[in-house]
Amino acid sequence: MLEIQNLTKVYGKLTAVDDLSLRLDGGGIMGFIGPNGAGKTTTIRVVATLLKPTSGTAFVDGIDVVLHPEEIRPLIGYMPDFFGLYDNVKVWEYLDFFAAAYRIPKSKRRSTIDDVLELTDLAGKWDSFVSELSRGMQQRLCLAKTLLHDPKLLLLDEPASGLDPRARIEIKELLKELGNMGKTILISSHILPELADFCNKVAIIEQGKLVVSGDVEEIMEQCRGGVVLKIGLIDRHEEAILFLQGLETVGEVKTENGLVAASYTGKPGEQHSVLEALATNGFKVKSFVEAEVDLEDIFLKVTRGAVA
Amino acid sequence: MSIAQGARERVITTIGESVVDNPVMAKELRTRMRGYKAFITMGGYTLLLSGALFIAYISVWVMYGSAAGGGWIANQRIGQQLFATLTWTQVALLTLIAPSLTSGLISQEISRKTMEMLALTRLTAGKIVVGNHLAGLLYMLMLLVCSLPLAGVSFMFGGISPAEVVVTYALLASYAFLLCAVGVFWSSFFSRTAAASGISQITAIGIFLATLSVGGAGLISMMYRSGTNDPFSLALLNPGWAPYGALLTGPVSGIRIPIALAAFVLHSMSGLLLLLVASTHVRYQRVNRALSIRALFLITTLLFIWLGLGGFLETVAGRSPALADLAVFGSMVMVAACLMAAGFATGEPTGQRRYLSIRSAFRNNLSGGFVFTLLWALAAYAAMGFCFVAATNNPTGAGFWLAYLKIGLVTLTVVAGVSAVGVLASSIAKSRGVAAATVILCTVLLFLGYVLVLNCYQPGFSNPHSPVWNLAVLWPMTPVTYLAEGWSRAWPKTSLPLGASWLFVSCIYTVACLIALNLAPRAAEKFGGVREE
Repeated sequence: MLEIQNLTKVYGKLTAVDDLSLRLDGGGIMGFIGPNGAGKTTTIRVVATLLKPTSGTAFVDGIDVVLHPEEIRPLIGYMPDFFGLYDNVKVWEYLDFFAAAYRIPKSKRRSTIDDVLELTDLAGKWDSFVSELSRGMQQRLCLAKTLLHDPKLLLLDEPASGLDPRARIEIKELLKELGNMGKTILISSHILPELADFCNKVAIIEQGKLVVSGDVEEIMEQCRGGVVLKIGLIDRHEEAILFLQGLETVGEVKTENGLVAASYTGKPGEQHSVLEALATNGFKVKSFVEAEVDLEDIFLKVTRGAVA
Repeated sequence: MSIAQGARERVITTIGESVVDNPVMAKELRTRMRGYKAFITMGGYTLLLSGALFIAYISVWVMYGSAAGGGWIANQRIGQQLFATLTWTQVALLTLIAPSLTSGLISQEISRKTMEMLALTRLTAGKIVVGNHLAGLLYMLMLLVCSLPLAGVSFMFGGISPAEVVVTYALLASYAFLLCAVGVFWSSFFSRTAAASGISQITAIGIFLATLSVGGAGLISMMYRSGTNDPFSLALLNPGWAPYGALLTGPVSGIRIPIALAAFVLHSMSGLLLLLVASTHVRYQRVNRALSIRALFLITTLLFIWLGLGGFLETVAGRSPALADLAVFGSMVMVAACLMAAGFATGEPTGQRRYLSIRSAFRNNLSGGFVFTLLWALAAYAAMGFCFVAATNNPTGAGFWLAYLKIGLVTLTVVAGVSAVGVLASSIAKSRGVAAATVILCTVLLFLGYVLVLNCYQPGFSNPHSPVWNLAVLWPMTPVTYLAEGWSRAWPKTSLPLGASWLFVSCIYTVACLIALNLAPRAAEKFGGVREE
């Protein structure tokens, strides 16, 4: 669906995006993560045909964004990080304006507007003035506008920035819903928890360069270098550490917050062998869990140094 | 379906979509008519007009009413004066309101960051421009309609025919069309609304003053010149003059043209031209309209020259064209073409070097712009010649036409030289603005420099035989002034024969042109030249 090939954008002496290549298949939701100024917005604007790259290009549905911008535009829905709204315009007028601009036939406009308002939970605001909506609602209205022409690829630039926690949750729910509807989504953010639970792909960019990209699961696997088991014991902590260090399937062992953290190096799915070994040797185990490694940990791990 | 029929349907669909189902226009009208603001403006507009009419009525009554004893002649005069007051007040208000209605629209889309969202829809640049223009124009037309009952007041007194009212209002509408287009035009160039509004207002006031004086001179010459009682064909470009002669016809090259029609057509064509140019400046939507813009520019300016010069020779001048006319209008063509080069003969160097093809004049590249500037100068000069030939008292004598040919050669070569400077500057400078400024500076130096040098010269004050004066052959104006027999004895002498200065000037500028054109590709390789995003 989306393929970015060796994209470079230079502004004067600043290289905003440096030889970036990415691939996102249909139906995927990719979190595009990086600190402020990493080149996320520039990349998205190139894909959205609003910016010409210095070199390289991108393809949406096999069409070159540089050569055929007018063919790309109906395929994408772009939501900028900072968007303007018209004064003195009502919600339905705002959407009717964009529906007409997308050449949705007059007879279908009303039902399309109803659909997107329903989806973005703004149906009750039909006749309100856009300027009177809360920031979160305006954000959702902008998303509703982006969905009017049923685009195949959504490019969302920091959709949750500047929102209060409640509005943030609402927009996350909405994005999950869109993901379930089968839309391909590229969503950028500098805050990870925003994306962690509904992206199935992730690309991390820093100083214009791609640091890592791929399936969230795969990257997690790569980054944690094995599973960490957190074991709670009633007593005999020191002995347990020595015992665990002696096991073939366990690597480094240390104590963390009163729990024993052992990195498991054995076959995936056979973590129970460690528990069995502990039990047979008389250790009183009160808890045995696999530690969760989330996107945030990965992010910190892969961007270590450069961000700090 | 024949090709012609298909093309016709396409044109009708395009116009229909731009005008009828235009979301930009719908949105603008919706928001503009919301609330009380629009109605206060309408109320204020009619109130101002009523106030002006009231003052006019009092003063006119004092002037004519009592003296004529209030008879029907007095009534007629009152009617005419009231209608003239109403029209002038409207023209002044139009000049202030019309550009401000549209000058903020496109620049606001950019500053409000809504333009990029618009650009990604299926709205074309043309639709955005037409929508913004129509929204302003329709509002302006509504104000004009509001004033119609006040025009009825002058009917009560007589002296004004319904046809005159209709024609005057049609001219007010075409004037509003032009001024709204001025607003849209500048709005497409600036991202700051204040800048767009300011320059639109200045342009509108400039148009008002220029057309005011042209019309005034044209009508006054009609009243006071013995022999010709015909109005100047461009007199009604300012519709404020319409009450004085809305239904008159003026002679142009022996043909009688309704002067209101001439103004209406020129307003509409100029407005359309501005809108076309504006549509190529809408951000994120680069469209190539070089062919239609240049063709319309050529037609509009040639029509303007024909109506202006053709009408001038038969009315204001009222005599057969003289060498002085040749010099004045010839140098006007020269200066205009050189200034045009700043717009047409600058831009991104493409490496194409088809300087001798007429077809390339309508292509959107640097060499095309160069050729077009030359083509325009040639066409404008030829149109000038046509006006001389077609004048009722056309000039006879080989001397006139020989001078015409010589000045024509000078004009073409000077324009070629200055345009080539534009091409070269575009190959060196990074921004188009710098290249254009170079061309303008060059033009100003060539023409203003000449005037300054001559004005500084005082007989006896400096040596009239100084060899420095030989440099005079470098000024493009020297052969023009000489050929028009304007190089009087009191002016400096040169050791070079001034009779051949047309040849010197032509050769010098041709050589300069060839050098600049040959240097340009190398300069572009070295410096990169203008880059347009």
